[in-house]
Amino acid sequence: MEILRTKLNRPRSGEDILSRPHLLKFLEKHHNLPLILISAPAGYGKSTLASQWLEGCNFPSAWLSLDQSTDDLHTFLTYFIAAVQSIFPNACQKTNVFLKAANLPPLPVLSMSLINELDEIDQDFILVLDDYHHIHEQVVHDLFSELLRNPPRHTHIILITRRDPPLSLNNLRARQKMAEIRIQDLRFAQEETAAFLEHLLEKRIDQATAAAWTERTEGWVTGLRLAALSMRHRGDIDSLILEAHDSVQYVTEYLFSEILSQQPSAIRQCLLNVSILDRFCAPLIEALLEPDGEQGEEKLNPWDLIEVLQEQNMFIIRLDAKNQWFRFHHLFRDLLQNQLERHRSREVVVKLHSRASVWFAENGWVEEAIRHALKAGDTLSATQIVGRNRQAILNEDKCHILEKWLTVMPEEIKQESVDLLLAQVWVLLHHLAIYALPPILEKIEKIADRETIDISSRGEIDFFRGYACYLQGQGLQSEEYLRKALERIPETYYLARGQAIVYHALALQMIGRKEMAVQGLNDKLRASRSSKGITITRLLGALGFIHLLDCNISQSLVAMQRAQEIASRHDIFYAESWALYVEALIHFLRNELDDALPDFSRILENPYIVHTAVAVDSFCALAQIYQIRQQPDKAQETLKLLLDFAAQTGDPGFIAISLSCQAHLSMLRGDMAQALLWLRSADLIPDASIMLFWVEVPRITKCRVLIADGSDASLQEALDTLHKYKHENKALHNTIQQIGILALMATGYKKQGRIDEALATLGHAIELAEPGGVIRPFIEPGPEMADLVKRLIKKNVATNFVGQILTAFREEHLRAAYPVSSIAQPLVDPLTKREMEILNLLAKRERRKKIAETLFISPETVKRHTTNIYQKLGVNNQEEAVAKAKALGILSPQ
Amino acid sequence: MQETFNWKGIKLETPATYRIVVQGCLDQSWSDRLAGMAIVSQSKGKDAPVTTLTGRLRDQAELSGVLNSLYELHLPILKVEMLERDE
Repeated sequence: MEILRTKLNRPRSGEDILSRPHLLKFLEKHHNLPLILISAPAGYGKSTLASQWLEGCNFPSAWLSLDQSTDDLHTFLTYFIAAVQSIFPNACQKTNVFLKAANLPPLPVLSMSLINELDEIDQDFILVLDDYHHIHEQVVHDLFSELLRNPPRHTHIILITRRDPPLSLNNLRARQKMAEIRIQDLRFAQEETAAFLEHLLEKRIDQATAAAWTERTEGWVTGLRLAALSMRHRGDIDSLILEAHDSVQYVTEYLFSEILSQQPSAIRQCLLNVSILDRFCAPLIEALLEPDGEQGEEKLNPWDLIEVLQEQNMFIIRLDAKNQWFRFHHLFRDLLQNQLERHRSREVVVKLHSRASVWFAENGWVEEAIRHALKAGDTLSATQIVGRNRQAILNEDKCHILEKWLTVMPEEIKQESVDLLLAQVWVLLHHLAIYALPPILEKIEKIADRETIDISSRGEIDFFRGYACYLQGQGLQSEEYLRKALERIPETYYLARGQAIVYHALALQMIGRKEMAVQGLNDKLRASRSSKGITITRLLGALGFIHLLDCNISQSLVAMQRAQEIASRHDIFYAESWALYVEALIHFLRNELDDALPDFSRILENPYIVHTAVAVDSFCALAQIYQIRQQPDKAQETLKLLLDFAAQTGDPGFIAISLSCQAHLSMLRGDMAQALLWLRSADLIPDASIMLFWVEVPRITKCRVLIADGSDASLQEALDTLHKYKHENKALHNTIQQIGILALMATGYKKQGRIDEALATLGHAIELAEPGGVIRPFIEPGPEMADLVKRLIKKNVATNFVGQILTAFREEHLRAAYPVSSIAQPLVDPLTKREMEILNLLAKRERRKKIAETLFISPETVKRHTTNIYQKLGVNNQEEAVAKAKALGILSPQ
Repeated sequence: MQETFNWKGIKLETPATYRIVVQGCLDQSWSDRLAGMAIVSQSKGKDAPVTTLTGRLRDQAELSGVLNSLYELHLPILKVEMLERDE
């Protein structure tokens, strides 16, 4: 996210700041508390005090000036972390990654992450949050409250605000976790007034005058400063003021207009102009001036102006170390703006805003350019600014910034401009809110019909249409749209182009032109040596998916492993997580559950950073693995995490998947009642989207449950449905899902007694599965399938592969029979050392002859030992021996 | 949670006439910046003077704005009262 560095710089005022030792001592005394609150209206010297203290204190410190732009959780956190990182560059990195995810995790997760990472900092530091009253978003207050409830050890925050924030301050006061400086503390005492005025006016101030001024201004330092400025010019005090009974703001306004009128006209003019700006620099001031100079006057040199303001200490605040950026004190600016509105026409003000907007836009400060254009009432310019910068920002993968610009734009304009609508679509895509796309796309197309829009935007529309079609399984339309998109989107817009290339390849695969897709991707990979890491990982990812869908497992692995390596090198966990998922999925499909488990677990360490669908499917797979591995507690635990996670997304699709997983697990446990309950009540959302390669597909689980139920009606329903799915996926060239569907169908036929059809279907499935070594879909349906598979062996079909399937069945059976417990159980009659040696070799599946050679004993001796081993373990064969030994903890479970 | 439609009362968006009393003086010229409220100041002899602002505010947001402005003008609030509301 683009950071305005000026928000992070400690504002420095001029040299004539009165030192207030008692307040500095107070800060010193309480600095080790989690929170110091400084709460008073504008102009009481709050920021000055904090800044002064920081200058003299020994601790590392950071400053963050808040404003309306930081009034949302994402922006606030971005700047907060940037402030912390300005002292400790490596802090809060995991929380920072959350800021790049499609959606922010729920607040408890976010705040815990932040608090934990802040807690890792082992050095005391001060963080000042200035102008906290600009924060209105409740979530930000909530985050802050959490922070204060569990304050990190070495984080000390100074909160400067004009109004007490809605945090549980009483609670903090009671627990003595905070100190505060309030109006009464900040008021100048008489001695301070005297000292202040003496310093500024360089002459003695008598007690009476000091007393009068203290009373007049109510100890408000800004009033005093204004008084001093006025007095400097006059040479003396206007005693009229001291006598009147008007209130402070009269003094303020009176003095202020005096000071203004004392300035040379050119400067006065300039001050009024500059008052429209939140921050200014010399070139910007220049841009605001009339191009030909104010009627006959000498053109003001902006640098001179800044110098004058600094010399006179006219409320100017330096924003950076390079002396480029400044701003006025808020109050001074308010007063100037009032004057501007009173003495200048609306047209003049509009012109000023327009010029400011143009300058900011030309210099790359897009958000401010937009704000000023809108203040000038020039919505067209604002829209154009977004339009011009949209591509560049998306190219840099900074969708959040685009989203920020959109929040500044008024709703009506957003609905009318193709540029802004397209921006909204990209933002929705980034948030994975796919369901929200169609209505906006329609709106865009309606406008596109009426007006001429540029080719690139047409290309983007084509891309989104193609993307939506792909997800609906409309391969031909998808390919056509995406092909057009590639013709229309320019090379420079590499983000949109990259996405279009990826989805075009996927669409080609969907319509059966896989070779063309693969070749295209490989060509692009070869050509993009210098591309950014993320583009290459996307291309490789597409390759990986295409091969996976085609059940070309080894090729898929090659692509994904390469992608993972690059993603990990560039530290793009999001891309890495896709690669991890596919690798885990492949292990799962090959029934290499021990390898799949750690990969899925790794993805789920950070479910909020990865693609939501990946997280959900990983939960499902992991739960299944635990259940299969006879660890029902862990399975339930994982299921619970999944249900919570899915519920919290609020997405009905994901919630449906989580419930499907629950039913699936029940089935695996043998709890048919639960599963049937789900079947009858489940709202399976006529899920028209494609099944891809997901492990948990509710529509298929429904068929699983029907088949498990086994009634005539259920079986027929299941088979009719699966038949339909088979054709759908065949049409989509989705081989991976077809295997599972065919395997299920075979089981269904068998239960119906239609053995020949069962075997034929199974044979077909095996044909598809063998090249990739995909075994899991055959194990899943259980013993019915084992029986069918054995019959295939008799028919001499793919004996090697079928043999592997049967081995997997046996292993699973053994695991079920001999579940690994966590407590090692010693045998009544323990194995001898020699017997252990032999058992270890048996575990490696060594033959008797080989064992004999290895141990320098005769095969008969081996046989004798083996028999003893079986007897002691109470088993009948080598496989059982190994399984039971592992279960008892005699052998390590590898 | 009780349904609110049974109650007779105002909502955040209900316009209403408010009277705000603050300590201090305020000139009628401030009316523009304070939601057009009528401003009357009164001196109270030895005690601090008091200003009464009266006017129709279109909603709670406008009221909040006025109260905030009075705070920024350093005028302590003595009383805030709703006089009349739109039906």
